[in-house]
Amino acid sequence: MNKNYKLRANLVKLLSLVLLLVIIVISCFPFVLMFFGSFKEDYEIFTLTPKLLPQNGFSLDKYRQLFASWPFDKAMMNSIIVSVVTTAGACFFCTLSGFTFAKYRFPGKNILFILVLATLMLPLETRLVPTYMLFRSIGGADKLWSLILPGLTPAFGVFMMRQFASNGVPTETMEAARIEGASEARILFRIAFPMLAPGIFSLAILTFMNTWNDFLWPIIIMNRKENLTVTAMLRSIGDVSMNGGYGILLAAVTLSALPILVMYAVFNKQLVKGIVEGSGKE
Amino acid sequence: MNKRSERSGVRSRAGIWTEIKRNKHCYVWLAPFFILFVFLCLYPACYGFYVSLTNYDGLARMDFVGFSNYVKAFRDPKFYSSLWNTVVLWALIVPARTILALLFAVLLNSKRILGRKVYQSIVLLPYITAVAIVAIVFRIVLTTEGGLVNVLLGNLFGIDPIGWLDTTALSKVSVAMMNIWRMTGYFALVMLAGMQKIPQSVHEAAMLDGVGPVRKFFSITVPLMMPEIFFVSLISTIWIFQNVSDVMVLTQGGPINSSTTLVYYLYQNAYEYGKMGYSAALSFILFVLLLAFSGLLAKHYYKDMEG
Repeated sequence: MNKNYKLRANLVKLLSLVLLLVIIVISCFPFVLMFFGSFKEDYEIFTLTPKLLPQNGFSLDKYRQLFASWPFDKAMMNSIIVSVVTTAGACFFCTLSGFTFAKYRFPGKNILFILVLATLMLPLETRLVPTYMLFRSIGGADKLWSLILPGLTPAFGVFMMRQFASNGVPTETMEAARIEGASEARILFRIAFPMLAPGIFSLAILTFMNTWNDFLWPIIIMNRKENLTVTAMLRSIGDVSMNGGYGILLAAVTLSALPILVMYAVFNKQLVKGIVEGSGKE
Repeated sequence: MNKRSERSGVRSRAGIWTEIKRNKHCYVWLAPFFILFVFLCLYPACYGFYVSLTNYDGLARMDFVGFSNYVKAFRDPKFYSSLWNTVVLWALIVPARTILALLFAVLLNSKRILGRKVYQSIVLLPYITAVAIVAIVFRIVLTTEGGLVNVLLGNLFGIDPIGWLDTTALSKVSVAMMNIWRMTGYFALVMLAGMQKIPQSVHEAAMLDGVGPVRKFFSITVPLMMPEIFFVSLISTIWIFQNVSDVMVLTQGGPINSSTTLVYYLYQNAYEYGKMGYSAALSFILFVLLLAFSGLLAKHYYKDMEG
């Protein structure tokens, strides 16, 4: 009986290992294809005898052609500026609100928190036209700040920081500081922010990733292609490359995936933690 | 006792005023969020409803037309087909993905497997990658003539090229496949986090009783994981009804609108056909459709705050 149980358990373990390996291969294969594809000619990508490696070696021709035919360097710069500024702003505002909701009791707190929750009910998709009209009427068309402004106060960031603050900043520490005569602002900047640093860091990586990957809003509010972000430009390049020039497209895809993949590799632990605890994106 | 007296103190009018004054820094700190919220979220949402009552064309014309956009929507076969496509996608994606995520989570949770953390990270790779990237790679791989999937199917099993993206029958299946590929890892990690909260003693008791892994999965793991399963299905539903990017890059709604989802249809109306008023009406319908689900989600987070 016991032996039987052990045998079964081992069998299950072997099976799960095999399944895991299959999952890993399926998860990784598009990245492999995209990387090697960016060095290939079209006839190597669409062929009855596919090879993993490019036949003509790893020449950077496709990348050169990409930068020659598209303002991709400009798009890279736009993406970096928008993502960095949005991330910095979002981290500041979300920490402020999250900490306040976690650590203070004040009249109207519940109603205000319900209003934050209401943003979950009004995603951009349900107010696409009016938001577009609003930004156009205040002169936001083709301006980088219209890509930054909407991302400054993500509701998920408020929940996430509230969660981190309620566990991460002991009320006793705040009390002790108050007894020593510290103002609430001093408590916020000298105690809360440093103690919340790991949480803020998780939020920062997550916001950066979401901003970098977003393309719906940029393609709506930007008319000129040199104002697009990298991810939004991918769609334009993709539409043009429908009938050839896939190598250039894959070069663009590889370059735009790279920053996020590198960040993921370096800050893996914080990112996984942030994604799981913060329940992802908006 | 202390809590109660504090509350009754708040209730009297003068008490509220001193409470507000004493906590005024709270309002200052919340102000940025709420200013942006009113300006970027609440105001557009209300104004959007007004736009939905006009025939705004994106340029100059903006006459009040009452509810005729809504009447039009309910007589518009393309509106119904886009709604139907969205529902079909939901049915293709959510059950399969939830079950897959649960299975992944069980696999990732098994002890004594080498490099568990590495597997977790790799499983999350599709989720952190932009939809545009994923969709472009899928579009290339799923090309009918010479796309890798058809070539492999042909070389290994002798199957004739399948029109993954060019046939009305399969375009939604392709979108669903890609979405499942993209998101399962994320939901698996959400489930895994819940699974790790199951106390070790439960597993030990099951082992002592000689409960096999399959039975353990159905009679212990699944019932204890119900909150996570519910949360994942809820988020999935909302995200699928909101999703536009998958379709926008992978199939562009085609062929013959067979994969046009509700949000893609409202996007097309606004930015391709110049029917902004009509698009705003469709957005409002989407808002109402999602209200029950997003309300449940909001309640979930609210409970989270109380607890």
